[in-house]
Amino acid sequence: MGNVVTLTRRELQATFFSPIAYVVGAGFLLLSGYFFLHDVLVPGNEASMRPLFDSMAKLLVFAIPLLTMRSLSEELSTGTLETLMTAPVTDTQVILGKFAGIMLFYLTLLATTLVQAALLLHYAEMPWQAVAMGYIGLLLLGAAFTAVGLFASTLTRYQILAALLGAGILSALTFMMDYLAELRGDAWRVITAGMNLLGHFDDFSKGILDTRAVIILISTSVFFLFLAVKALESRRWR
Amino acid sequence: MSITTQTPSKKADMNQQKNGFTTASQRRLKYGTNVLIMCLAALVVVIFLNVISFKKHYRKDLAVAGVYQPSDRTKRIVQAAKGPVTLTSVYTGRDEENSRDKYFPAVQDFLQELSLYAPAKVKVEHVSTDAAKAELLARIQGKYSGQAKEYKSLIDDFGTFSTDISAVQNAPATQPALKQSLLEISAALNAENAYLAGFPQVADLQAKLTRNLQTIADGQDEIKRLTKASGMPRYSEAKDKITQLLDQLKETVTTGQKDLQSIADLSRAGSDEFFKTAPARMQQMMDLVKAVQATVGDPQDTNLPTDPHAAMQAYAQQAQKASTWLHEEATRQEDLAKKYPAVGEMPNWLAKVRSGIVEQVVPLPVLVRSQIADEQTNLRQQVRQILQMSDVPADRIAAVIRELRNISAQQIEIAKAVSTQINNISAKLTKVDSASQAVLEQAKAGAWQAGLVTRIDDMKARITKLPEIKLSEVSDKLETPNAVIAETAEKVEVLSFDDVWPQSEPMRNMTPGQAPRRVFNGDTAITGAILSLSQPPVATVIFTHYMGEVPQQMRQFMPPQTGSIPYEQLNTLRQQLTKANFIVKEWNLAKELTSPAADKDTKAIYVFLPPPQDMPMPGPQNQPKFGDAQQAKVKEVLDKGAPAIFLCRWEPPARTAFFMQPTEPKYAYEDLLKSKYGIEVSYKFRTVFGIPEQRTPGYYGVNVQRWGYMPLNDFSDMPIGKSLQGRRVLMLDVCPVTRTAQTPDGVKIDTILTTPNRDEYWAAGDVMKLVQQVVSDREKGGLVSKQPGDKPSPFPVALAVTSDKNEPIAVVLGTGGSVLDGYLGERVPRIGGKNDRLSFDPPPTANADLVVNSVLWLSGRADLIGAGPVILPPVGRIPDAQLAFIRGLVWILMPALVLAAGAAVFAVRRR
Repeated sequence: MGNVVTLTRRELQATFFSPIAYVVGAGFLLLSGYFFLHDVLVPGNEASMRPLFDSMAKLLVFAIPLLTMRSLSEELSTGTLETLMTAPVTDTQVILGKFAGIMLFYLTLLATTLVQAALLLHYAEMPWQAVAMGYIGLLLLGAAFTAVGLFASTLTRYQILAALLGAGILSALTFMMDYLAELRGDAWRVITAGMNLLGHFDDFSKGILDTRAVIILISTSVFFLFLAVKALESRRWR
Repeated sequence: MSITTQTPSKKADMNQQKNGFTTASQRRLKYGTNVLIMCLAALVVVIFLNVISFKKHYRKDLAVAGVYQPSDRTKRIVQAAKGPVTLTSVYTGRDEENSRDKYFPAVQDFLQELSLYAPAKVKVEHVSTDAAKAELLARIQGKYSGQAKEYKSLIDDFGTFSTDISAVQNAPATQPALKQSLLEISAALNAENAYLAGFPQVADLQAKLTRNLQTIADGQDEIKRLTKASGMPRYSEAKDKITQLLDQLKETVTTGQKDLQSIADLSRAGSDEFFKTAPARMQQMMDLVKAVQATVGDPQDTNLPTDPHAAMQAYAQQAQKASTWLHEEATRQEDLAKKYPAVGEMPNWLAKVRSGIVEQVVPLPVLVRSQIADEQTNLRQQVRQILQMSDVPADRIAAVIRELRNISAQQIEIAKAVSTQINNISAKLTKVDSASQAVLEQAKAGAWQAGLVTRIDDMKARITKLPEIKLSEVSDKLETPNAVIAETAEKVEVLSFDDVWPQSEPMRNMTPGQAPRRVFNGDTAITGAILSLSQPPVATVIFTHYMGEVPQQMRQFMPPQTGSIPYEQLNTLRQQLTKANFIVKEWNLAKELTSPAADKDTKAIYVFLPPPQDMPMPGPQNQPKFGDAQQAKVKEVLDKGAPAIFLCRWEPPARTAFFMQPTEPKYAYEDLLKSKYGIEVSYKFRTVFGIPEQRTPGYYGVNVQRWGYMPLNDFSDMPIGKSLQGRRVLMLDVCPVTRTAQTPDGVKIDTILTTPNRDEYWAAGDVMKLVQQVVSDREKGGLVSKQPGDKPSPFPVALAVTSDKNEPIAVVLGTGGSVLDGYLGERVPRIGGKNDRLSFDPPPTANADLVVNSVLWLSGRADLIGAGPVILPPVGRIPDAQLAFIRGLVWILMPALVLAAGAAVFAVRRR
């Protein structure tokens, strides 16, 4: 556990020292601010953070791979991963540490949007539970996206490629599933809708707690973290 | 002993051999396979976990109950649905007012929630392309293929029918061709001294038959167009057209049957005692009226009788004798008209009478009774009074004598006219020409075209048994940008955009001039469709009204007797009730004093419409009216515990003619409601909305739009009104419905709807005064003011009555004027937006839902009342300065701070 904490701290520090994180963070805030002012804080509109949550979720498909792209790709390209591997840490600890570090940065980013939630709660009488559910959903969705991004990052030493690969996988699990659901019959629709991560996040953005959505987002995170560990391990026998 | 060294590659090979590998690729294959298996196993675990979680899960709406999750009512209805229901959304709107982007997500959410709640019962589809639409239509068409066969068969048979009735030769004896009959009637009317020509109803029959035959020929073309043209066959419309044509034809033929039979009977009435004695009686009548005149003298005579008092005495005696005889004669004539109705239709039976500036056409017996007999009785009484007075001046006596002479002369003229007319009728009876005789022979015992009526009845019976088919409705609604279609194995229900997204009044005017906002009412509307498709009706709604028939000869002068909410003008409401899964029946108290029975397994709910008011009408006054017998029947029904809705409205003072004084309105159930439920209907008051005039305190401007479409939305939380709180409810001619000082024992009254607690609303007792203020008080510029006696707001306009055992008993709605066809079916004008443009909003459908909810509540099924749209609280007004600050903070400051932090970190690191 101590190793994971140390690795988390190291990853968090690296992220905060990375200019791309600030660019991504500023861009994310700029766009979410636009959606907030355009779709949410409009006098006379129904008081709901849902439009903002939905937009933020779509933004994350591209933002999170930008945050995760350097985590392992940079270590691979600079050779620092070999040094790290000589330390008494397991591959799982490395992945968990990096995952926790990026998640902490993501949480910080998410926390800044609480200003928008506070503004809406100030100007409208609305249930805070719905807002809380939205943030829980963003947390779980972010975890799943981060796991996918990390996995992509373990596959290549090139950061841009890792980002593209991550965004590609995430697009396949979100937008493409949404598109595919319209193409075929019922069984196909059930499968593709079930795999659509944004579809599951939709429940959270409405303020609905559904154990199915919780389980699929957590299981997706665990699965991709497992894949990331295995991808990292593969360096030993490739 | 020797020491050997190994190269690194050899070392690796040895390691590989030690691990059982001969090459690196073998190693990669083994590890790779191992990892692949592990990954697949992990994937299987993930899938398994998710499948389990999908099968057993927990779901809760933490936002606002009912915003996204189906309401409890919806859950009950869906669970009780017998078969699977397919819900298909067709949302393709692109305009701002019906944009798919704006309105589809909520529909999608709701349908998704519904299918998640009951996946075995609800199947959801979303259609957005033309190809998918065509597929949907084909599917629905296939669903109706069985029913369509029955429709096609009916349409074919109607074609044969129209050919048969147009045949001129070789028609079967039992079903004589209508055109053949028409030719015979025409020949009979055109013959010289035609007997039938003396009866205007025969000429009327000829004209109607000609028109019917033409209409049927035209209708046949229209039916072909409706069912043979490309696109969806419009069987339902074709069926309606056939029904309309058959109804018109049956009306003509049955009326013709009655008229011809009556004329045939009259043609054999020459031997009737009336006509046998007619010449002698007419002579006697002339003698009597002349005898009356003889007592006072001729009007040409300038000299007065030598003994005026004696003359007047003689007049009184003779007038009494004459009037008694004339009353008997009038009764004889009336009896004849009852025995032979055809005589009442003859022009000779009617005479014109001028009274001041009014000219009336009245039947002969009325003339004899009112203009001679009654007049003589009145004059006799006046003469007797004068004779009893001792100090009547001579010139007054002279004036009376002169007046009596004039009146007597007029009465002789009237008697002459009556005598001539009666003698003409008598003479005409004996002269039946052969062509007329041939027609009348067929009409004996109502046999004329009897076969045709049987055939029409058979076809109409088939039509009533036809299954409901809504192909054309589906087709029409799919032409509109947004709709939801609910299907079971046999039925289809289509919900329009306005059903699912009705306009909302409460949030209106957030931005002046803009169209009213729409609110999502899918939970109520879509589930209502599922209910009507999948469950049997729960109630039979019996509309109870009074519509008296006007005698045929008076129809051109008098409209049918009916109340201020005529049953005939409630078609839209009746359709809404049918759509909401109720059976609808009519009980016309003018025709039948026994209530129709409720259908099996349904509860009878009575809707009492205001009976007609007792108005002074021209013509005979002995027509049937809503009276004690009808009141007693209504009371009997209520005493048996039948739940009832009373529809009331503001009743304006009525005038029968412009020169007559308006009569005070009267609501026939006023006393009944007071005594039974303790409810007072203030039907003489109209709820008014005025805009306070700041410059002239106490005065209000009248908004023309709000005069006709008054928003009233202060519904209580009582089940009937709660679901309408978020809806746009517009009202017309609303009257206050209040509690009496003392509520009778055993009943409890709850408010459903009140007027807002605002100065702008009040109930005006004298609306004419308001109109006068607008029109004539030019100094005030068309402003109005409240008058003494007006009722200030708030006051209830709809009340519900329950028993002390909490059983629903009655609902009294003072908003009855707002459910008439002209109101529910017409789009609402709106002036606003750019350049104060005139535009139109959808009709106010929520008014009908108030009645639908009342019926459900009275049926004991308040649980089926829709939850109505759930309105999320809106974002309040934000002052411009604050909004600018928020924009700066969210859009500029926060991203800039993040960038600045990044720049600082970067700078520190570089140093």
